[in-house]
Amino acid sequence: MRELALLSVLTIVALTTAAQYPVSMTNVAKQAGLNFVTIYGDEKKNRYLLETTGAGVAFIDYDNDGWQDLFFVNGTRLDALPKGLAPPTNRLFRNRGDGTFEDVTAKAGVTRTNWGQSVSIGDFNNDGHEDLFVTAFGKNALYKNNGDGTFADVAEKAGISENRSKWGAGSAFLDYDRDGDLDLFAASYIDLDLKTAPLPETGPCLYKGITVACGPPGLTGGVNMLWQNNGNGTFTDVSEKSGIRKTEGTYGLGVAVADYDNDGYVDIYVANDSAPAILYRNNRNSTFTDVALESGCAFSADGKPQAGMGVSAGDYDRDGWLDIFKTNFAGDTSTLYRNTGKAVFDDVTFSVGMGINTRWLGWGTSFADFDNDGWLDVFLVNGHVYPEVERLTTEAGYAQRKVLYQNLRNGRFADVSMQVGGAVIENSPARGAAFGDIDNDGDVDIIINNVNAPPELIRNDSRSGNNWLKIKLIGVKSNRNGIGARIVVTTHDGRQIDEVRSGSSYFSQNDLRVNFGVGKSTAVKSVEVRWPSGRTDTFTDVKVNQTFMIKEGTGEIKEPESTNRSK
Amino acid sequence: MIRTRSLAVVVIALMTFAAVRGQREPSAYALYQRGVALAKSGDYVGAADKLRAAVKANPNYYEAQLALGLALQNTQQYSDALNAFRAAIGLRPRLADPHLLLGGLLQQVGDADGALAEYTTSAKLNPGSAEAHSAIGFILAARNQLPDAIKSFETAVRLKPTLAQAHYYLGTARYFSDDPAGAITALKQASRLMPANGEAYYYLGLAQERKGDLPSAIASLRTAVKLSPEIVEMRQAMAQAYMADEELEAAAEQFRAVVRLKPDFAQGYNDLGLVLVELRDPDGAIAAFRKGLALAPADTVVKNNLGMALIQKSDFVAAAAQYREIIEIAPGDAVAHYNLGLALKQQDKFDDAVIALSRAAELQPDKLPEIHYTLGVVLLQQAKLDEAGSSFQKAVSIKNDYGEAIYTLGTVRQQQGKIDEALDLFRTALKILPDAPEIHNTLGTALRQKGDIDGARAELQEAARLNKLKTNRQAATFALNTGIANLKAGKIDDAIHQFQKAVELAPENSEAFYYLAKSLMRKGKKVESDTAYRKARQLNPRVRRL
Repeated sequence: MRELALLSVLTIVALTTAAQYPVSMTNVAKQAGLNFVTIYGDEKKNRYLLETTGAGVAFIDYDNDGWQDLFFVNGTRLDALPKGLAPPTNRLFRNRGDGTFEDVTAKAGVTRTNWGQSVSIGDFNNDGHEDLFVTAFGKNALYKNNGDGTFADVAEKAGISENRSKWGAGSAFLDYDRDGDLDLFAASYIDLDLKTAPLPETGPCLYKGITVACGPPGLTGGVNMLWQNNGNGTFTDVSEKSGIRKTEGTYGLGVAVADYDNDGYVDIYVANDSAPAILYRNNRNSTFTDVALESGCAFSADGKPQAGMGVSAGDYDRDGWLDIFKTNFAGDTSTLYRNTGKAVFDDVTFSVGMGINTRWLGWGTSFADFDNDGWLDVFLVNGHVYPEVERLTTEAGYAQRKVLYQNLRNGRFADVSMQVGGAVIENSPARGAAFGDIDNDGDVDIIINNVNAPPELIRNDSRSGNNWLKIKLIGVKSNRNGIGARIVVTTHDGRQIDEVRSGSSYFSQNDLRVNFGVGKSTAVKSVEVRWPSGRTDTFTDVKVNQTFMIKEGTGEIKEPESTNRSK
Repeated sequence: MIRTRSLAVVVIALMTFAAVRGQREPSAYALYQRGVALAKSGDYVGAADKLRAAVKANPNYYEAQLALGLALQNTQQYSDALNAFRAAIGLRPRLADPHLLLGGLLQQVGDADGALAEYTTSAKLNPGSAEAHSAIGFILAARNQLPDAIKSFETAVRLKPTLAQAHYYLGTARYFSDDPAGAITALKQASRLMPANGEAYYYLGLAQERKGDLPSAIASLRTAVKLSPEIVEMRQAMAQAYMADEELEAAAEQFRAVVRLKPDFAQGYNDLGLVLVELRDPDGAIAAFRKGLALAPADTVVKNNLGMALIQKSDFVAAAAQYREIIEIAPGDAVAHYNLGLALKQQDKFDDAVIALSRAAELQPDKLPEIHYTLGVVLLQQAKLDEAGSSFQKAVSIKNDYGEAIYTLGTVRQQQGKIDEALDLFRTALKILPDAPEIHNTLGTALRQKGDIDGARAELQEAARLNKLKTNRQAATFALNTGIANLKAGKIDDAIHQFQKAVELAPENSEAFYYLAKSLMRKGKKVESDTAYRKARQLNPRVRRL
């Protein structure tokens, strides 16, 4: 008996210890031509939180060539910029397909200097071209893709620009009423008036003995927004009538829209800073109810509100229910909420092995299968809110390393950051992060928008030899991007689910194509797509290691010629 | 301190008395008169010469003998002084005063028994001598025979209600006998009779503080410090009273004065450091503790406090180093092991933290529940739920009203799927910490897990209500501080707006009403100002005047 018991212990240890993680991650931003600095507030001392939140980044295929282009949101400064420094602006980079990018910002007409926040992608007018929505402290922008490499800001005309004092935060396109066009949700952080907001010294606002920007506790929280697409290029503010404003939580930042209760209607999760998170359950009648408290995903396991930043949805345990991962403040852990079914969550952070990191202050994040073994890993980028922490010699620092958790396939995770090394353990003051396949090689790469620093493009070079299947959807009755479609992939070792999702992470937009790692499976038994329209398309014996493009009701279609262009 | 002054008073009184009753023999008398005059002018050496000549001229000259004894006592010629007093006693054995003076001298040279015998003789010879009874009380008090001492002082003040020192001694004796009310009565009388005496106010303040009357204590101690600004003990008491009143800035100011007055006082730097920690000034605290350690390098208490300040500054590496140094000096110091564990935990060095905390737990298995609690937290972070649960249980077994540990144990049970147990623990924790929103939240979640949706909703709503209160208080603080900044900048309308916001958010905040009243007054709105001030006063009767 005694030997048997010992054997059991050894087995458990073996099962829960990370195997070699077969990926390497390299920052290739510089050689890719991403040579600019995102300007965001003062570099040394911030007067308001406005200077601290940073901005998002998006994967977008704006020219429909099959290669993911990049859009970076930019901020500005409260004081005049140093002489010789050009006004900071959003930036759009076209992916040349050879590992380099071309700055097409001016050509595309997306130059703008303001306090930009999040970016989300969706073809709001269903014309086949991906559009951009950018929130801001001040006026939002809705960049309609003209289909000729240029954009036009139609926010005013569309009725979603909002006023100057509104602080739009995380955002996402979603078809909440399943009418075939994309509506728009934007969280709001703080109702901030710079004329009356307390300064660090008047608050006084201290962090570990140093004065820092005040809030959000003590400041008036922002009010989240939901706009219904009228189908004619305009939107209607339905925040009040949809029930979006009735919520316990405020100070919204990251947003992850997903069907958490598997009822076919998209729900909305909002990571709130220093306040209970929100889970807007879609009532299937164009209204929402905040059910986060009773669903168990509003607080930490010990019932405390956390400083939520970024958020991701994914089925890490492959039980058919989408779970939630949320990044939080330093001194706290990130949080993993396991969906136990019907959108009832348990905080399993500690029991899965994610209680070990409390030094990092997390922002952008995603569930993603970096080694394509069929199990979702978790990546988060970090950086302190306050540049002043540099004076605290042993605080983790303003610039911080990233964290990569490997899914051990037994419900637990292992921190493999140090093992992978490379770009993962390089320090940077990160905020927005987006995940997608930048080089179309079948593994998930990462783009990071840093604060007052150049961006990072982390190329994932997987040595796993695992196979993959990337799925791109084209809606017909549903919205053109298939946003909100549920995809179920079945291989010899089980089922995986995911959705086409706008927004998520922190203020960012992942690749709208959905990447499934399928391990050693040489074919996918079936791919099932449940469209927002209610239609289901099913495909069997699908070849692996390809981008599988599916048109609603039509079946598989060939990729555009350009997608076959070699890098 | 007090004793010397008391004797001086008696001495001068008796010398005057002796001068009045001087003999009339021309040569001895003239010498005696000159001696007394010199003594009065402070020239005791010259006085002793003249008086010695006087008694030489007339050995039976009682007043001259007595005056000679006093002059010699003042020139530290104690042996000759004793002889002179004894000679005086020999000349007039039935007089009480020489015995009193001799007693004083014996007390001064450390012969307490001899002094007591003389005082007792003096009191017997003159039962109406308040001074003699007071002096007896003093000796008894010094011997810690406080009940008898108090009786003597009580007799003294009954015989002579104006005898300030006796009131003072009575007050201090009652204070040390744990009778603060009696002490206050006597010390108030003493301070009325000698309003320039800081010590009376000092003990009065201490007695008032012990009785729980902090405002009066602060007022008395403030007077004491004003009268005797150089006395370190008074500054320390003042600082402690300010700390009890949560006037931390004022306390820090006093502690700074303490180390300024006594720069080699290690404890003073430690006290200053501690209050600076409270004031969230870790840099100042670290500097103070380091100065204290420079004076007392092996003082592990100060080292521990320095570590604490380093933790407050988030300098966990330096804090850990500090605690390792303490452990080198005192390997059995459980607190140092505990704090080391804490510093390591903050660096996410969980394995090392567990080692340090486990060692602390071994050293103090049945004390310091915080050790077991923190160990539990680290084990929980490492996903060791069973072990974490055991540690929290241990913490609760040491301190059964440890709400935080009970509730965290509940969260462990909840994560282990033991919902019934979790429910019990959350309910127990709420009895201890009824206003903790997080416990209502976790209880709500557990009730939901048990299918009690209504119960869950009620708990979650209560949590939301409590969270809202907390948020509002924070917002009120911002508004209040911004308003104060506006007021200082002369932006009265903006200030009023902020103060109105503050009182709306936190209607229990006296300060907000006070400043609202102040700003309305500056705006000339007296009626509204009065209303706001009344509200401030209603919330805090001690609120300062506008």
